[in-house]
Amino acid sequence: MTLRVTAPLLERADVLDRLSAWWPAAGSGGGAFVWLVGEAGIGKTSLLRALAGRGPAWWGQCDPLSTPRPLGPLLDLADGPVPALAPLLRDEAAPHRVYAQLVDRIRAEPAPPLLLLEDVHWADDATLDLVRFLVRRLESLPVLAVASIRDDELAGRPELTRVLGDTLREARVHRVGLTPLTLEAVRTLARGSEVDAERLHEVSGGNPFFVTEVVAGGLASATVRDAVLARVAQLDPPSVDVLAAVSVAPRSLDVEHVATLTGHGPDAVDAAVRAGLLVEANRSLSFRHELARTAVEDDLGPARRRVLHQRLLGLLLESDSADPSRLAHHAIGTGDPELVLEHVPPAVEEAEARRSRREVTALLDALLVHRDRLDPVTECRLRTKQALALALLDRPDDGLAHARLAVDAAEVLGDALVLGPALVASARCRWLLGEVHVAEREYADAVDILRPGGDSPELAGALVEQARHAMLARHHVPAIDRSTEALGVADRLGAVELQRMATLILGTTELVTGDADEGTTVLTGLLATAREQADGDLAALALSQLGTGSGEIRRYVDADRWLRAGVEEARRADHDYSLSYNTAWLARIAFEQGRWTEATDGAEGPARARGGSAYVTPLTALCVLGRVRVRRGDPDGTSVLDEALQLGRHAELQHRWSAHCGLAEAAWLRGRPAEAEAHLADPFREALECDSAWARGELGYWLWRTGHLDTAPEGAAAPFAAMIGGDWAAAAEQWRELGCPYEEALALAEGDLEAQRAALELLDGLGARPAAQWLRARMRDAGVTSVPRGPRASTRSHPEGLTDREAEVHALLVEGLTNPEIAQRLFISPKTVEHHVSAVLAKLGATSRRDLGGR
Amino acid sequence: MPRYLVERTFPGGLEIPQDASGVQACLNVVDGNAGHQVTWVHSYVSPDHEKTFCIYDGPHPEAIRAAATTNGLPVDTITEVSVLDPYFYRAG
Repeated sequence: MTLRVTAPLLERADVLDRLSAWWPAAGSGGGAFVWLVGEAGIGKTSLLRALAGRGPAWWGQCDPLSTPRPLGPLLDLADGPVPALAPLLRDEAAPHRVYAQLVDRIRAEPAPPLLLLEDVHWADDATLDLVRFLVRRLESLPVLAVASIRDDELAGRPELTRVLGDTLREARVHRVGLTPLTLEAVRTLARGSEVDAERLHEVSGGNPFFVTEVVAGGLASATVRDAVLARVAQLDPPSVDVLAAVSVAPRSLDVEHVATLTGHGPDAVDAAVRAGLLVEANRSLSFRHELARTAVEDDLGPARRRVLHQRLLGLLLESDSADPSRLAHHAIGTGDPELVLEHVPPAVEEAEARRSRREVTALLDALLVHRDRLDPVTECRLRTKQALALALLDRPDDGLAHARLAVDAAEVLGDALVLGPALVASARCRWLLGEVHVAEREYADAVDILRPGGDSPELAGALVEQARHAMLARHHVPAIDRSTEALGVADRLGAVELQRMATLILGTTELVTGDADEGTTVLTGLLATAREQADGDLAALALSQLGTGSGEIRRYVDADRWLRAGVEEARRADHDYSLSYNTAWLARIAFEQGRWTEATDGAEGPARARGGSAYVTPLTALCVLGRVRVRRGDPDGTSVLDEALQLGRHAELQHRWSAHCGLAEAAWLRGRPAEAEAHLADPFREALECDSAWARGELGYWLWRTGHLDTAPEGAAAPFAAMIGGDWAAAAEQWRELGCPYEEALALAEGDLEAQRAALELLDGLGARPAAQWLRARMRDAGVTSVPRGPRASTRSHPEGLTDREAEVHALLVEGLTNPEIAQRLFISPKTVEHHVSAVLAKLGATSRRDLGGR
Repeated sequence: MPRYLVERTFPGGLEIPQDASGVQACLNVVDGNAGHQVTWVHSYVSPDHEKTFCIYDGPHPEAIRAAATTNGLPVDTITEVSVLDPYFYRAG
């Protein structure tokens, strides 16, 4: 076994840590035996390989033969690290002599080895005896023995069950089960492929083998399929019929129904279950894996499938207990338009009620397939609904296609109540695609078409959307006016949903461009209502507005609180867009507060969403990434900011201004302030046209910083206005209160020598090399002779006055590392470690490392 | 994957023993890097062992920093680089 450096196993770090922790240290006497348990494909072999990478490993494998090699694993060892076993095995010595020899060899090793026994479910009896032999001697046997075993192979193998049961009673024997991958891990594995991660996770149950097979071969790929069909082929026709019937049911099939559908009895069912393809639980049958089910179902052939769906549908309708989505599933399976049009709409309603957005779009597609049977108004309404559903699923381009068809048809129909909403759906998709001005026009058109008809939900809806748009443009007065008008119409109609939307927009507008406290009150009131009514969507929206709105006006405590709650809520409500957006904003908050590593960590995920049609989230995340790199002096800062602005070229100013400032800052830090104007001129003009104080402030500041502005623009946010106005002390104080260390440092840099020293400490602490360099140069140019040296030489603000290195040593001391271990970890000599340890003990007033929790 | 030059400062001097534990220390660095998709190519060290210039391959600067944190190594600066050899352009 060679050490292979590969990407780490997902979600196995804690298992590896636990296993490593059981690995005895040299000279400590006793060992440990671990049963590594899991289903086929869960990754036992991969884990053992990863573990083997951590030290000398002795591998022994059991083979899937009907008559296994006796002591097969020991034959492997004899060929490799334990040649002393070879003569005994050749001469067929009594097993206990072979075991004893192995034990002697283990004890003779300078450091405890790792003994790996693979696939023990295929072990012969002698190997199982070896396991017992080892376990009985663990107290004085310095070894970590790990045996992998498939727990789904235990049925019908009582000897395996016995050895597991017996050994697990011993103190030094452990059982570690490998769990399936979470959705996050599946996402990681599916990255870069065409496969939808959520579906893959659901379908594979998180089984790593299946996941990687599918990612390699596509959903229901040939390899898994072939394996399944090969097993099916081994069964007799009645069992195959049973499999066919179960394959057509979406999740499981009642055992009684199987009998009715296929005419076969329990024997056929049992055979299929024994073959490992079906699982029975609570009198219903299902496939063990969705992949197996789809493989069998696909193999059926369309005609046979349709017939089965028809029969099942009939059965379910008779029994009167089936839920709408099951009926819809089978109706669609029949391909019969009448059945589809009858059974799918209730399922759509149910899916909408359950907020199952993916289900909604799939069902709507199924209905639209039969559009020649639909009347024009119904088709329009369905397409409008589909457009909105797709927009919510982050697929506005697909949504727009439906919306355009709806608008064209509605214009022909001449019905304002159909055309208005279609225009609104189209406008929403266009906004998400970045066609902001077209969206604006379509919203206005929708309102104009609907107003003459008086109060209607459609009018209130269109007004709400128009108000939302004004809010997004940070046009304070129009946003307030439209949302107030919308609220009026909604109140008169008693349209609760629209009342809430109008309130949301009103609250957000107040928060970001008006009275922030008033806005917060309105939005928290809405949040309370949402929680009372268990309205997940509304709660997610309220939290998002509270979070990003507070963040935009730099109320960080509020922002952090609301954004974190928003992330939780978004997960619960299945709202992908909101989750990603909130995460990107948390990264932005972290960036502005000087927590740069947290910022880049958080931005990584949302930034990768570029390439999709919705740009705001990746734009926000890329801006964070770019600005951190610029401030740290790391490569690829400006290129990322350029990319962000390219993505957001149609975006409203509030999504862009930070990136524009980042590019200006980069130019300034590079010593080319003149270049900054090109980045700032247009956005600054836009800022003057909207009502955002912080946009005016930050853009104005960088114009001033680079010598292109003399006085602060009217209505600029206070700390920026103070900086421009020359009141550096007030600005620094305000930045300190807000919690923005970098801006605080920039303000202090304009002050006296003491302020500049404080600024340097801040910048060094942040790792803001370019700005620190600029300030040092400035101080030297001003004739300052004792400019403080770089970060390594300073004692950063450690409470007990430890230097950085001492703090590192202290941390490892407390973890319990010895001096040689600390030296190895920090790449310094043991002598240096001793020196640091003395210093740490002295500064902390301890007499020995044990006082600090060390060894 | 981009290549980066990473400058590091070790006050008191970097020390890696020339025995099995030194080998292990370097392999541990390799392992720690792997978790961030970062590969250590090689390093240049000043005579007093206080400064190193390390060549790394990695997906982005944040990965370099994260790998450094995992391995307990300092980072002064990160610069993206590509190789230029004196005889690179010579024909034949």
